[in-house]
Amino acid sequence: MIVIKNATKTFPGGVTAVDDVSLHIAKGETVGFIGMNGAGKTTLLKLICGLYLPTDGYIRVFRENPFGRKAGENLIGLVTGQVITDGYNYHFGHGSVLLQDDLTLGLNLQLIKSIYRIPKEAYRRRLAALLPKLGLQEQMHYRVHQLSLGQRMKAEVAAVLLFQPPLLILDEPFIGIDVAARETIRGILQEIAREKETTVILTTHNVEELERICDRAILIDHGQIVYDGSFDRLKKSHIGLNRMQIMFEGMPPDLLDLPIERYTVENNTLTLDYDSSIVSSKDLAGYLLSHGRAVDILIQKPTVEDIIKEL
Amino acid sequence: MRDILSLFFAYAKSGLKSRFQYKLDAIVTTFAVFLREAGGIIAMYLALLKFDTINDWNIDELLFLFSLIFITYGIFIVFFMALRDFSDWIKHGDFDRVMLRPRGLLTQLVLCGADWLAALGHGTLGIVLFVISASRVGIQWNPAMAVYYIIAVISGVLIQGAIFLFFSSISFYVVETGSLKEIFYWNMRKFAIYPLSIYNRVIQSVLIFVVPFAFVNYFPAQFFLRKADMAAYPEWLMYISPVVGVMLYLLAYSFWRFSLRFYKSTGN
Repeated sequence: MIVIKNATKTFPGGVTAVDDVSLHIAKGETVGFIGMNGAGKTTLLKLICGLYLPTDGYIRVFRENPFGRKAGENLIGLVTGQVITDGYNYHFGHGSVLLQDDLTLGLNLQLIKSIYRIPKEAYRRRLAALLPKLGLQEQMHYRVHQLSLGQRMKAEVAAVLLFQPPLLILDEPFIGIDVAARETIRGILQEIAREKETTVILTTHNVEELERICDRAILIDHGQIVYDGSFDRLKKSHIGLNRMQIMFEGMPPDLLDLPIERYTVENNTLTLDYDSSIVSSKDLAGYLLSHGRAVDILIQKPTVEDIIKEL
Repeated sequence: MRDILSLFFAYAKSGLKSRFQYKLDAIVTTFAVFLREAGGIIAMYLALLKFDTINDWNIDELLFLFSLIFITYGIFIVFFMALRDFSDWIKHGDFDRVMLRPRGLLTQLVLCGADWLAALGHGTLGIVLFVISASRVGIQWNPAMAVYYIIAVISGVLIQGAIFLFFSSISFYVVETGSLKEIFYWNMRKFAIYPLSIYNRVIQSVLIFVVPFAFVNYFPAQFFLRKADMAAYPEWLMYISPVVGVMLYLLAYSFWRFSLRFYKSTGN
């Protein structure tokens, strides 16, 4: 379904964003592209979508060269996250490839119906199923730029599922959106993944987000694939320890025989490193909060950076 | 064809509905475009009162010449608006959307960009000018002339569409094409307001061979008016507007197809 052999993309400035990547994705797979910002995930997606021409190598999507593909069937649905953050600045990333900002959601969906030649009956049926599931009934008369990030991402998902592309690509779909919207979208993606009809590619720089959605994880660093295998195995063998920092008023409580890996105490701050599959953050925090007077708590999950270092 | 038409109507519907969410704004926009452009004409009219004629063209004949620019431009912005502002489409990543959809690239760009309100402003002005001037310059209309007029208008639209298709293709290589448009379109359009014969050789050549605005209004107008200054040019130039339009468009289209390979989407 997607075959990539030794694909390289070097930009005119000399930056090689994708470096000799080979991979094969079968129909119905749900794959997560994981990597830090600037690792080359989006460039790889754009190569798959035919928005970039590879400098070198071979790419086939549905047995066709995606670049310069003739206007034909609805093959690829691309959803892009709206905000890119590099840790310091938020700036708007690539605009939506599905929705037009200045039109209402309703008009956008009607346009998609015409552009993708969706039969009237199918359109009505799909819309009736999608809107309540995503909780968007109220938003149909809003212009897209009036929607919150969470609503907007849900609107994107509605738009893309309306024409049911056999290849669904979501680039950083969870960035900047609220927890409720995230759970709704995760639910829908899990459903799609279970049906194994649609091939799904998701990108993220946060591994946790893809849990229970993806079977396969592809880790990308400096334009190269550094891990390609089962998501569970990646999680079990390579995801490091969580770190919890709690600041107490007075002395931290005694840790007794909690199954933690190591701890340090500095001033009134207790720092714990622990394996969340052995002791959950909830249990740990529950114990500490009930045995001492905590003023502040911070939990850090292992980042992609940590995982890549480990590999 | 039916499929294309239904897509055109879908775009028109969404475009108009969206603009008419703010009804007053929509009406004011149309009116403002009309007034802005009409202002230019009034200024020209007042200036011409001093001269009486320019190269033997009287005010009505000049308005007839002018009306062709407005009528073709009014139709032009229904179909070529997206190409007119194409560098913005690339800059904002909107072209990715077009690339990913299962329709022809130019089909989408031509059908989706229509600025109906501005088109109405320019078009109405063009028609008003045409109606006033055509009756006063004494054209004896017959079916052949009507057909010629319609073909000339279509060619005029196509010529301007082709010019912007060239600029759009150039946006694949350089992001900023604003000054190119300024020099080669907007300035040439200003020249085309007056009869070609008043300019020096260089500008005349540019208007005939490089940015062929002469075929948008001067030569078609000469077909109807037969002014003496036409003697400076071969007569057949009055008849080849459609050829110029189609050839230029095909040329621009080939360049577009070629340049598409150089497109690299923005983002990152």
